[in-house]
This record gives sequence, C-alpha cells and structure tokens, in this order.
Amino acid sequence: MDPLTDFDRALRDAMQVEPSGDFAARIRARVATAPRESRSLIPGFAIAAMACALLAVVVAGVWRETAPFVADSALPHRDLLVPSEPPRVMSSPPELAPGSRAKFNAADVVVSRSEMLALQRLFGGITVAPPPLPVPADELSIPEIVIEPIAPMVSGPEGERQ
Amino acid sequence: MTRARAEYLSAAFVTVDDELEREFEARIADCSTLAFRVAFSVVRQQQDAEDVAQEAFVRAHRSFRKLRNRESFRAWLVRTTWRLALDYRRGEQRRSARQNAHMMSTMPCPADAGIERAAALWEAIDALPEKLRITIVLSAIEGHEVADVARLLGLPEGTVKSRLFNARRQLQERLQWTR
Repeated sequence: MDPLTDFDRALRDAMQVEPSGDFAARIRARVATAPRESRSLIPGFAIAAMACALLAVVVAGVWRETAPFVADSALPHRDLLVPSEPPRVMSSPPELAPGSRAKFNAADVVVSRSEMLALQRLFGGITVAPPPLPVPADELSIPEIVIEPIAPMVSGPEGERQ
Repeated sequence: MTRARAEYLSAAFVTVDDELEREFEARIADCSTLAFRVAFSVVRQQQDAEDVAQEAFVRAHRSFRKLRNRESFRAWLVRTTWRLALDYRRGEQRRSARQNAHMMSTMPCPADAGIERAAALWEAIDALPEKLRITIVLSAIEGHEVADVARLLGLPEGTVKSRLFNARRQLQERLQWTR
C-alpha cells in the first residue's frame, strides 16, 4: 500500500469529526446575543481625514502668522523719489579731494533689496497732503470774546437768602 | 425631510439589513462544519472546538459587510478560527497540564483499534511548524484540493504544494506505521 495514500486516508478520517446537531442553531443564538458594534453614519477613515485636514489648516494658519515677511519684487510699487542721498554704511569715510563733491555710489548702500522694496511700498502708499495755503491777514477775523454771566445778577446783600 | 422620504429610507435600510442577515444565514449553513473542523484540529475537544467556531462566527458577523463574497468569507473564517483556536489552546496549556491529558483521552477516533495510530498522528501534526500544520490540516478537511487551500490561505498554489510536500515528508519521518 502506498504510504502516502495510507497516511492521507488516516488524516482525512481523523478530520471527519462532526459538530453536535444543534451547532448551527447555537451559532445563530450566540450571534444574536452578541453585542453589535455601533454603526456610525460617518466611516472612521472619513473622520480621520477630516481631522488631518483640520490640523493642516491650523498649522498653515500658525505658520503664516509666524513666518518672516519676504518682499516679493513682483508686487506693484511706486518709485520713491528720494530727495536726499540714501543711507550709506561704510567701513571708513571716503577720502575726498578738497572741493570735490561726494558721488553717490549704489554699491555703498547696504540696505537689502527686500527692505528697500518694503520701504518703497510703505512710503508709496502715503499720500502727502499739500501744505496749507497761506491765509491773507485781512480775511482773518476773530469775533470779540464776550463773557456773560450764567445767572442774572441780583441786587441785595451777599449771603442773604433771596 | 418629508415623512414619505423618511419612511422610504427606513424601509431601504431594513431591506439591506435583512438581505445581509439572509446571506449570513447561508454562510452559517455553508461554513459551520468547516470552522468546527479547523478549530477541532487544534483544540481536539468537541465542546471547545464548537465554542471557538462560534466566537469566529460572532466576529465574522461584525465584519460581514466587508465579507459578503463567499470565498473571502471562507478564507477569513478559516484564518480567524485557526488563530482563535491557537490562542485558546495556549491558554488551556498555561492553565493545566491535566487538561491536555484529558483532551488526548477524549479525542475521537474512527475506530477503537486506531487509537494508538490516531494519537501518534495528532502528535506528529502538533510537532509540525504552524505554516505546514494549517496547510496539511486544510488539505485533509472536506477534500480540499491544492487550489482550495491556496485560496483559503491566500497563498500561491506553488507555495501550498511545497508546504504539503514538506509536511508529508516530516510526518513520514515521525510516523513509522506509514512505511
């Protein structure tokens, strides 16, 4: 006899066990009495996704508030007319020949471009009011100040009940 | 929401639940013996095997919306029953060695003359590594073919064939009566 066949037959015989007659009924009873899991209308993964999205929005908001401002050169701005020379920072004052005027050298300016753009935007948005026109002296009239008593004066000795 | 709409939705939910319950009933009729035999191959006692299989069905019922496909259900049930049975048996072994002796003594056999053979067979099966053990057990239950075992375990057929070969070889080495 083939030993494998003999072995397989023995194994199958060993597995030919049957449950009790009411096994299926007891399964149904057990399933019916088992506590059911709560069925939520919103699945768990949807709740997790919403929580992640909310967290991302909060983090982005905080990051925007704390991030340093970086000037964007593409932003529109007005040219600033600087009446005097821009600030210069130099390691040592240049030696000028007597009688010669100092020439503006852009390389001497150490203000960063972003700072310059920020200043340009700041000052570009300010509308400088024109100086008030001088008022002619003859049009200036000040009415005479008249001081009137609050209550009419009553004659009689002071401190006497009226 | 109008009353008619609410009644329609309520009826629809009831219909879906009823349909699920009917399908689950069919699964119980189809797979209860399979689950019992898988559990029995591990715990070796009728009542314990039934308890383990019932627990597997309770868990299957909780997840039945995801397990409506018959093949998926059978595979999930076999693996869950196997794990539950192993856990149960480990717990029992921790409790007392006396229980083990009782289990061996109450092990059913096809014939009284085969008690010694059956005991040796189960002892040899118990000595197999777990991967080989579940493969050989499933192949012996309900006449499963290699393809059936592969589907139940979620493995390629080649892997199942290899495991069956190794399991038989190890069992042959242990069981002198098969030679």
